Parts: sequence; C-alpha cells; structure tokens
Amino acid sequence: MVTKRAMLTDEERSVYEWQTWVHDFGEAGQEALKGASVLVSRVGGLGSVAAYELAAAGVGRLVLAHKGNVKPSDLNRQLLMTHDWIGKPRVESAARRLSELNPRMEIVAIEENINEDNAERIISQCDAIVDCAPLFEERFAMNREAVRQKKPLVECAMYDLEARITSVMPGVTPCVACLHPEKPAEWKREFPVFGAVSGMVGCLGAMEAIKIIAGFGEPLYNRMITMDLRAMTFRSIQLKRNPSCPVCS
Amino acid sequence: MKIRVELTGQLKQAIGQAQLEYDLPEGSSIQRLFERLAAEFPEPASKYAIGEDGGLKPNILLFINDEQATADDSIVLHDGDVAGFLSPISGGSRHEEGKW
Repeated sequence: MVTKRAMLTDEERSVYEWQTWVHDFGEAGQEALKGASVLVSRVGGLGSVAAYELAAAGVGRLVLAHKGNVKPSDLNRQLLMTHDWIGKPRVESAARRLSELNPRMEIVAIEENINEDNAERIISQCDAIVDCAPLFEERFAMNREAVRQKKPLVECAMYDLEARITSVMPGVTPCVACLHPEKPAEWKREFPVFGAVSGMVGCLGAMEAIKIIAGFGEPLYNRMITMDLRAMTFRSIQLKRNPSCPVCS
Repeated sequence: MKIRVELTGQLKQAIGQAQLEYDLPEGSSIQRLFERLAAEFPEPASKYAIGEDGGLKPNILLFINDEQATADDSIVLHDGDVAGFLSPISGGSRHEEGKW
C-alpha cells in the first residue's frame, strides 16, 4: 500500500459496495484508494480509459497532464473527448467527463505534457503514476523523476493491435531506462491503433494502479505482459534490472 | 535446429510478418540469429533492430522463451527456442505546438 487511508462516507460505501466484496481488497482497500492521488500522464487512447476506470473505482484525487485541444482524429479512442469539445482543451474535456462519473473525486487538470522542466513539480503531487505518454522523451522524464521520488509507475503502451504493460517499483524492478535505454531513432508518433486496443491496456493500467495503491494481488513487478489482439496471443515475460542503468542503479 | 522468431511493433510492420522460423546449426549463438535476420531483411533490420556493428540495437528488448535476455555472444540457442524482439512502443497523439 502506497498511500494513507481516508474514511468512507455512507454514500461511498454504497457506491463501491461491489468491489469492497473483493476479499483481499475490502473497505481498507477502498479507503486506500480514497486517500490516493494518481497521475495519469496524457488522457488519450490509453489514459482516457485508465483515468475513467480509476475514477469509477473511487481514487480520491486524479492529476491529469495533457496539452492540446481535441481533434476529430482523437475520437476513435480518446473516450473522454467528445464531438462538442473539438478545438477545446483535451484536459478540460477529460475533467468534465470524469467529474460526471465521480463528483466526489478531486481532479487536478494540468494543460501540460510531462517534460524535464515540470516532471518534479507534477510527480510530487501524486502517489502513483500511470504512464500513457506518446513520446519517449516524456516517458524518460517521467521515469527519471519517478525513480528519484520513489513513486510506482505503471507503463502502458500500444501499437496497431499490440499492447504491453509492466509496473515499475523503483529499487525493486527494472525502470523504463533499463528496458529501453535509448529513444528509438525511427519512432513515429502517429501510428495505427484501434480504441479497443488502447482501451484494453488502459483498463489493465488502472487495475495495476489500484493493486499497487491498495496493496493486494500481484502487480506486474519484474514482468511484462505483451498482447497481440490480431492473433489473440498473450505472453508474460520475466524482466531484469540493468545493473549499470544510469537512472536506477 | 529450429528457432522461432517473434517480431513486434514497427519491426513487425516493416518486415510484414509477426513470426519467422530459422534453421540454425546446433550450438549457434544469438549473434547468428541476428546475422540471419539482417541478411534476409537488410533494410528493416538495420532501421529497427540490428546496429552497424551487427549487434542488437539498445532500444530492442530481447526475450528468449519468456525471459528477458542480454544480447551478447554468451547466449546459445537451443532447438525449439523462441526469440522475441520487442520493438519499443508507446502511446499515440497528434503533434501539438510547443515543447513535445
């Protein structure tokens, strides 16, 4: 468990009743979620769904970081964006939709993408991070700061009909730089994807964050799940730290 | 011996196949597999996976039979091994003005 617990109201007990029946989660787990602050970095195809599930689950505070305005091409996968919000800030659309689902939750909407200059400030506001960023520069900046502040980081990614997820616990697991020490030279930020693929791994990312915050189940520490929805094949790969990693070793 | 190769991400897209199978001599090292891949698919391999020195590019995560592996000559392949090349992937978003 990575957060302090916050007492539930009777209304919250009613809303979250079905998940508090999960035997190793219970009301204590729900109190941990209520006491938690989670950063979702970018609320696009991955982050929209991750944030929505975290809001539904009763996280007490969500910090959303995403710069830019809603575009028509967002709408096949960025489920917190709506047609009537095209041309307006994505993070505002996300905050509006999330507060409709969970009006009890505090939302901190930051119209910035994570970078080297703001990572310390933004990450200091959270207990755990769900990384849904499109650029490796963002992921590396977030990873460096998460390791420095010893904050758990759930890494979600997708491409075409593929998706991957692992969870980073600084000092325990490989960090992002252990796995991919360099930015790929040929990376294109726009690529094929279905919303059902990004949404699937967004759901998994939310579940990872919930397990880590509430301290139950087996988070994906030292493991990565790779998914190919074209062939419907799933793998669990054992990971290892890089003993000479410049970030975490 | 038969070695199955699994490709992902941009490397898979560039090669146009998710899986390959190679017949290598017994006792071959992982380097032999890199050479075969580079010989059969020179352009996508050099762009996404194999460096100028013939070794694996650092941003590719290699796994052998569901375990992450270090791409050096100490890895000897065995019949039936599955070697996976995890090309980095991320999230997707349209470009915005300003930093990143």
